[in-house]
Order: sequence, then C-alpha cells, then structure tokens
Amino acid sequence: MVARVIPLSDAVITGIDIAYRWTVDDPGTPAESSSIERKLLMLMTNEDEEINGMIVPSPSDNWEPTGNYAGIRLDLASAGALAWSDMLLALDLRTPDDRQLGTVLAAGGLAY
Amino acid sequence: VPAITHVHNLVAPDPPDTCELAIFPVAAVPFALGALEYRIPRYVWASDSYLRGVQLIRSLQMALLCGGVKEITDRLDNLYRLHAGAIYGTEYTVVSTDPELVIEPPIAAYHSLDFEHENSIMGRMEDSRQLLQNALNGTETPIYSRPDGIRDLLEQLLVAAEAESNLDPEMLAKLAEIAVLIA
Repeated sequence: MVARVIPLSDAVITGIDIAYRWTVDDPGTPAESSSIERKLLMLMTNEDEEINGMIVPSPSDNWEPTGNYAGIRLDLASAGALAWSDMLLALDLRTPDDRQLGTVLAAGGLAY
Repeated sequence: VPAITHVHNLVAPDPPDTCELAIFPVAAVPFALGALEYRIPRYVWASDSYLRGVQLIRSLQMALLCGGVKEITDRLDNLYRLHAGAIYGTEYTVVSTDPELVIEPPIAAYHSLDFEHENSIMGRMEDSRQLLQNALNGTETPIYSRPDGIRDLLEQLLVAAEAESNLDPEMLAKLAEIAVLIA
C-alpha cells in the first residue's frame, strides 16, 4: 500500500500505523454485573521511569478484598494482575508514540 | 458555566515538582481517576508539553491509588506498638481484619511508666534494679529476698578477718578497699 501511495505524493513517509480491527462473531452474553461505565485503569512503569496507563472496560472482580481501597484498587496479587504482569515482561508492548509501555504493573484502580 | 473538559494545547509546568501529602476520601478515587483521564489525550497538550503533561497526570493517578497519609499513619501506629511492646511489654491483639484492621488495646494519648511484662525493657531494668538492691544491700524486694547483701557479707568478712591475728595485712587491705568501692 505504501508503494502505491508514494507515486501519488511528494511527502516522505516517516512511519506507518497499522490498526487491526477484529469483530467477535458470537460475543455471548455478559454477566449481569457487567458495565462498560466502570473501567479499570492500569498504571505501568517502564524502564525510563515513565508511567503509562491502559483502560480495561467493565472490569471483573480483581479488586483488593479488604482495607481502605477494597473494591477500588486492583489486587496486584490477583490472578488477572499477575498474568498481566507476566505479559509485560514477555512482550515489548509500545505506546502509540513508540515508547515502552511498561515492564511493571505498578497500580490499578476503578475509574468512572 | 464554562466547560473545562475539552481543553487543548495546555502547557505543562516545568520541573522541579514540589510534592504534598493529602488526605482524601478513598470513595472519590474512581471519579478522580476517570476525570483525570480526560487530560490524557494528545490534543489536550501543546505538542512539546505532551509527555511532561501526561506524566504529571499519571503521577497524580498513581498517588491516588498508592495512598499516602493512611499508610504512613498506619506505619506510625505499628512503630508505636513496636515501642510499647518492647519498652513496656504491652501485648496487642488483632481483633479483626475485615473491613479494616482493628488492633486492641487502642493507642492511648500517653503511656504510664508502669510496665506490663517482665520481659520488656522496663521489666528487665526493674529486675536488674531489684537484683542490685538485694545483692548489694540485702534489701528485700518483690523478686529477691536474700537476707544478706554483698556489703553485709564483706563487713562480716572484714570483722572476722580483723579478729584473726595471723591474717596477711595485704589481703586485709584489699578486702577493705573492695568494701569502700561498693559502699
């Protein structure tokens, strides 16, 4: 596609953003408690000590069960959080401006 | 009322960042996190302020999630209980952990000088005090009740030695010297 665009333009290509869209054919039925108004904000730190965030809609129950932040803060020892942390170490995920997304899941919390 | 949710081209303040501790209701955290997300998109910031501005917002979100004052005060309470336990022998019990940690007895405004366990620092010091009183002077204490102290025994020894005519004068002088030293 780039090769076909070049003859049509004087611009110099500096990069390509590829958006991959995928639609589930049979998405099933969400749980009663599911709500996309509720979101999980995950904050990750990268090797440059930057903090990057990612939003997960309609979060499942991976919250801290007790304490002041019960039901609000992501339990970093939960199975979901641990799996996410493992993935951060395994994959070199990048932000849209090509910075390292993060290597450590530092915190997560409910966001409206 | 002017809306502020669709601001753009904000210029982030330069470092250094001064920081403050804040007390906030945890119930407000989800709303604050959500509101701050409106300041994350690139169009909110002037192009050369984007990284800096987003990092400021992310650091505030992190601070909201990591708590602050409550954890510090909890740790101060833990430190108080550690000191009270070590110094006075106060024994604490976890009464419940859900929905929040409750430990008894509660931390009082002040602590009396009375200790609560003989293995505490104050308890051991009191033991040492009584031991010295009894050992040196023969003073009867709640813990120690030997009738004669070292001073009494030395005096008895000196009297007995002086009564003996063939005792080495040098040894006698040393005994007298010891008696003076602990007097």
